Amino acid sequence: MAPTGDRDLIRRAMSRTQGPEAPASEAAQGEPEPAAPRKAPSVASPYFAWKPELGEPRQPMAQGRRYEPPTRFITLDEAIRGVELQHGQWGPSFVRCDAASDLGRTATSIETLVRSAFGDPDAACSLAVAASTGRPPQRAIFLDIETTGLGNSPVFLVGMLEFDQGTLTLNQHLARDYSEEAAAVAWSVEALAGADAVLSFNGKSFDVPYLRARAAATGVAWTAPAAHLDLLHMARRCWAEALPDCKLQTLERQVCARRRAEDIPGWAVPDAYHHFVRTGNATHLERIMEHNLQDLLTLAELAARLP
Amino acid sequence: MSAETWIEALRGSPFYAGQIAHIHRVPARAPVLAADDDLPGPLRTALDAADERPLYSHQFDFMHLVRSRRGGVLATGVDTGKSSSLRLAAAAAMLGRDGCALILCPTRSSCLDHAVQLEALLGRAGLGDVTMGAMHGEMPAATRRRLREEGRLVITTPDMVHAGLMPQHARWQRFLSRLELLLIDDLHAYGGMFGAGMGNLVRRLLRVAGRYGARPSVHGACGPVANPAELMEELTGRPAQLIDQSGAPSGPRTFVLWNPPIIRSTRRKARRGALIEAAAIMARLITAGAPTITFSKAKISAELIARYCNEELGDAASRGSRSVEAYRAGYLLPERRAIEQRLLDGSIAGISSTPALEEGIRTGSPAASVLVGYPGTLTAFLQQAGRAGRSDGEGLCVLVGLETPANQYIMRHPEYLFGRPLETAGVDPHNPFVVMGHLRCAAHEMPVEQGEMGLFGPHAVTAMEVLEAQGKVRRIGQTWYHATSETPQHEFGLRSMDGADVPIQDRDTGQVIGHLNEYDAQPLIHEGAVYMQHGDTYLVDHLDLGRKTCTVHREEVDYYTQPSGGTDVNHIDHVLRRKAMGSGECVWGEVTAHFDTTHYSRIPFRSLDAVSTHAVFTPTMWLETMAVWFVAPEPLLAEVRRSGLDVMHGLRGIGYATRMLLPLFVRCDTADLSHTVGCSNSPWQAVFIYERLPRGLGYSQAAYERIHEVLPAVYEAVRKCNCRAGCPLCVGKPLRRFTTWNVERGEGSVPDKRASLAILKGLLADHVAAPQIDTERMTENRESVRLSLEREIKRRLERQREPKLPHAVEFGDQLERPEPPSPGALTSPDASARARTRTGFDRELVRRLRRSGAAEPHAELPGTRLETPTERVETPPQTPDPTPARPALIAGDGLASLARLRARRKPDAPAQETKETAP
Repeated sequence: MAPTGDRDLIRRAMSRTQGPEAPASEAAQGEPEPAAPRKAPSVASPYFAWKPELGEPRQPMAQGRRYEPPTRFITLDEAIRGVELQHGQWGPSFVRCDAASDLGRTATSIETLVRSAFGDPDAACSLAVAASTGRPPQRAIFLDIETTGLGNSPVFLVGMLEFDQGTLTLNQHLARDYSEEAAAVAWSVEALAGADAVLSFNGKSFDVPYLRARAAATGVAWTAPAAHLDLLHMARRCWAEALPDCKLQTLERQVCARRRAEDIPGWAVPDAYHHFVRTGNATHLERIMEHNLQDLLTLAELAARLP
Repeated sequence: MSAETWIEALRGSPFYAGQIAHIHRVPARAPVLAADDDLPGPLRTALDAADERPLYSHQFDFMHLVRSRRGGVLATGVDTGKSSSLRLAAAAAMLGRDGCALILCPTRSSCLDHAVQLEALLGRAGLGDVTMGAMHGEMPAATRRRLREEGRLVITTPDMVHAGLMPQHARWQRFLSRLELLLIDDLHAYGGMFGAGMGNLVRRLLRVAGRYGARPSVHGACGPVANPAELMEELTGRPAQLIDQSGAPSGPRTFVLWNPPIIRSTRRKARRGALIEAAAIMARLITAGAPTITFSKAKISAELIARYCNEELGDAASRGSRSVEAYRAGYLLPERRAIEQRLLDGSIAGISSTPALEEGIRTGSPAASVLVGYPGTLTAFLQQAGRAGRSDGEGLCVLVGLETPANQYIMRHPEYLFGRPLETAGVDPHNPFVVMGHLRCAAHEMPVEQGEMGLFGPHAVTAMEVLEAQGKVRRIGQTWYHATSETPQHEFGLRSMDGADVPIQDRDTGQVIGHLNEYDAQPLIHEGAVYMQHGDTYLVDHLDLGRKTCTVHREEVDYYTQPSGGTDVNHIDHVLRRKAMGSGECVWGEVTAHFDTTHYSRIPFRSLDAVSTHAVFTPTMWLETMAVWFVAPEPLLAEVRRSGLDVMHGLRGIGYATRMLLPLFVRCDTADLSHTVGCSNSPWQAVFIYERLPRGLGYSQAAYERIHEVLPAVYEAVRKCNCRAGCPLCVGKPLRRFTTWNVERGEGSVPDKRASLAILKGLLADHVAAPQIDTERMTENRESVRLSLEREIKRRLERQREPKLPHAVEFGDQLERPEPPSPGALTSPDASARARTRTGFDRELVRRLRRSGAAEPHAELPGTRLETPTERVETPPQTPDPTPARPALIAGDGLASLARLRARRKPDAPAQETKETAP
C-alpha cells in the first residue's frame, strides 16, 4: 500500500463531506456523446483524477501464467491472526475478525468516509439502499468471495466487511481445507441474512449466485439477503465514460487513488489455495486474504464516494 | 405390393446374373393389444387426437412398470414403438405438478426427433405450458437458461450431461432435485468404451440427484442385443426388469442375400462393384414402386450410390418424385430434417445413408432397405434392416455382399445371420482406466464419501489412491475432495473419438456446407480432393488442419478421388498384459500408430480404374491406441523359411485374415481395425491388430481375451478357402481403406496362404485352442495385482498429459524373446509345454511333408512372388537350433525345389483358384 496517497485521500474525503455537489452526475448525463474516446476524463472532479503515472499495476507473479509455489514457509497461525469457529451443524472453520482500527490507517479513514456517507440520508448509497428497504442502512455488509474456479468449484474464503453502528468490522470466513467449506458458507449465509443490505461488486451475477449454488451443493439452507446493491452497475453509471473500464482495480487506482504494492493475480488464486491445502504453507494464502481485504475496503470506499 | 413382386422385378432386370444367394422369409406377426389401457385421461385424449391405436401389450406393461417406479428395460425388437413408449412415460410424468424427467439419447438428431414429437404429444394432452426442449451445444444461451430455470423435461445426449450439466449441477439444482424419471433410449448403442463411460456418468448423475433429494427411477429402451437387462444393470448399477414380449404387429419380412457376380478373372476386384450393384438394385426397387433406404459404410459411398441411382432413374425431369437423396453425418441439421421430411411426404423415393445415423434418422418406414456389406454385428444388421417395412405391410431387405472374407462367408453361410443368437453387448463400467477419469469428475461435482466408492466398482479405491498421489484429489477423514483448479469433465469426453470438427466452407458463397471430424478430414478433404454433397462435386481448394478450416468450390467434374495413405504402428508404448499362446505369446498393450494420406487417385465415375495420381501434403496424424499382437517363435519361422516359404508373406496373411474375421468374435467392424507386422521396438515378427480409434475402444482387449478362439478359426477359414495359394478372401491383400504398399516388404501382392498356414499351425501347435492364463497374472496375489493396477493407471495418467507427442520411445527388453530354451534347462511347466509343442510341430511338419511327397508344396509357389525384383531378403537372426537332430530332408529339399521352380516358372499364371458362384 502506498501511504503517500492517504493524506490526499483524507483531504478529498473531507471536502466530499462538506457539501454534496453532483459533478460526477454531470459525467453521467452531461456529455451526450458516448462515442467520445473513453481514455480521457471528461469532467474535472475533486475526487477524481486521471493519473497516468500510476500506470498498470505491477504483476509480481504474472510471468508465464504458471503458479510458482512460494519459497518461504509460514503456517496459517503465523500468517493470520484468527480463531477457529465451531458451527453446531457443519463443524469447524476459521475466521479472521478485526476491527477497522486494527487494519491500518487506510481502513480507519475509510471507516470515517463510510460513516459519514451512511449517516447522510441524501448520499447516493444511502438513497439506493433506502430505495429497496425503505430506510437507510443500520447494518450493511460488503461482500467479496474467493473461489477455486468457476462453475462448480468450492468457495474457500468469504470476506465480509460489516458496517454496524458506525464501525467497520472485518470477518473473513476461511475454509482451511475442502471439508470446512460448508461451515464457512453456513456462517456467512447466516451473517448475510441478518444484514439490512449487502453491497458487492458484480455480486448480482457472481458472488451471491455462486454462494447460493455452493450452499445448495453443500446442503446449507439458503436465505436470500434482504437487499442487495451491486456497485458495479452504479459505478458504470457514474464512471464508465471517463475510465477505460470499470474493473475494481481500475476504480481503486483512479477513483480512490490507491495502488497495491504486491497483489496476487486472480488466476493464481485457485492454485495458491490448493497449494495451501496440500502443504499448509500460508504464504500465498495471506496474500489472498490481504487481496480480499483490499477489495472490500475499495468496495466500501467506492460506496461512500458514489456521487 | 409384395416382396415377391419386388424380387421378381430384381430377377427380371437386365443386370441380373444369379446374384441372389439366399432368400429368408420371416412371417407376419399379429398385434397383441392391451385389453384396456388405464392411461391417464389427458394422454388417452392425446392419443385419440392423433388417431393412434390402443397400446400394445408391451407398451401397457412398460407404463405399469414406470408407474411402479421399479427400473426396467423395454427390449421388444426393432420397430415396436419403444421410443414412443418412452415418450408416453415422460409425458405421464409431466402430469404431476412439478416432477421433472430427463431423456438421454446417443445422438443429437434423435434428441431433436424426440423433442419434436414430445412437443406435439404434450400439446395434444393439454400440457403445452410445460417447459421442455432438447439441450445441445448449439442452442442459444437464453434458451438454455430458460430450460435450466424452468424446464421440466430435458432431452439431451450423455455428452452434454457430462460436459455441460454436471460441471455446474448447482445451477441445475431445481431440475435435479425434482428429477423423477431418467429415460435412456437406444441402450444398445452404449457398447465398448462409450458404454463404460455412460455407466459411470449415470452413476454420477444419480449420485448428485440423490444429494439434492431426488430418487429418480431409471428406464430404458434397447435394440436387439442378447442381454438387455444385464446391459441396463451394468449401465445404471441398479436392478432392471425386462419386458421383451412384443405385442406390436409386423408385416412379413423378406431378406435377400445378394452376391455381386464375378465379372473378371483377376484375383481381386473379381466381382462387380457393390456400390454399382446397390445403386442398380435401389433404382430397380424404386421403379417397382418401393421406397428404399440404402446403408453403405463410407460417406463417399453414400454419395456415390445416390448419384449412380439418380443416373439410373433418368434425368431430373423424367424421374419426377422418384429421385434419391444422400444423407450422412456432415450434413447440417436443418438439411437432414428437410431430407427426412421429403421422404416422409413422398417427394423423394429413397435415401442413401451412412449407418452412423441409424438411430437418429426419422424416415417413416420405406418399404425396402439395401445394406451394402454386413455391418459387423447382428444387432446393427437387424437395426438397419428394420428401417424398412411398415408394421402392416411387406418389408424387403437386400444385403449386398462385399468382396471381403466376412461378407463372402455370410453369403455362403446364411445360417450365420438367421440361425444365430444375438451378440452380447459387452460393457465394463468398472474398467479402472475409465473409472479413474470419472472419479475425478465425481469428486469435482460433490465430495465422494468412502461409502460411495462401491458405486464405481472394485478398482475405485486403488484409482482414488493413485489420484491422490498425483495431487488430483485429497482425502480428509472419510471423504475425497477434488484438489486442483482443473475441470476434469472438460478434459475427456465419453466417446473416445473426439476430434474437433472441420467446417467446410464454400469459397463462392461463403456458406458452411458441412462439417467433418478432423480424423476424417485428412483423407477426404485434402487439397485437390472431390468432396461430394447431394451427389454434387466440390473441389477442395485448401485444408488447414491446424486452424481447422477448409474451403471448397463448386465444380462439376466427372471423377471422384480415392485417397491412398498408410497406417502403421510406430512404436509400443506400454505392455499391459501378455500370455503364452501356443508356442508363441500374445500381448495386449498401448501403441502409437500414425496415418498419412500421401496421394490420391482420380477415378471416373462408374469405373474402378484410376486415370491419374497426385501427391498430397498433409501433416501426419498421430494416434495413440491399443493393440493386440502375437509373436511366433523364431525357430518356427526359421523352419518355415527353410521350407522355402516367405515368412513375411505368411505373417501379413495372418494379420489380414485375423482382422477380417475378428468382427465375428468381437463387437467391432473391420474398418475399426488395422494390421501390420513389426514396429520399431517390437520383435520383427510381431503381428499387430490395432484399433483405429484414439485410445481404443476395448476391441483389442476383447480380442486378446478370445485369441484362443480367434486364431483356430482363422486357421480353419484360411485352410478351407477354395483357393490354392492365397486369395483376397482368406489371406488377401492389405485391403485397408487408404493404403500404400511397401513393395520391399512384399506388400501389394497377395500373401502366400501356405506360409500363413504353416506359421499358424506351428503357433497353435495342433492342440492349443484352449484358453491360457496370463503368465504374469498367474503368480500374483491380491497385493501385487493392486500394485500393477496402480502402475498401469499412473501410466495412463501420464499418457493423457499434454503435450501428447512426440515422446520418447522406450526400447525396453521386455519384448525381446528369450533365447530358445533347450529342453534340459526348462523347469517351469509352461516353458516345457512350449518346448514339447515345438518338437511336436517339427515332427508333424516332417510327417506332413513326407506324406505329401515333400516337394509338392513348393511346386505351387506363385511365380509373381519370385519375380518381384525388390523383394526383401530375409536374414534371419542366427538362432541355435533347439532340435539339432532334424532330418536333412527339409533344408536340402527346400533349395532343390526352389531351383526346380525357377526352371519351370511361367511368365504369367492365370487365376488358379476357382471362384464359387452363388447358388
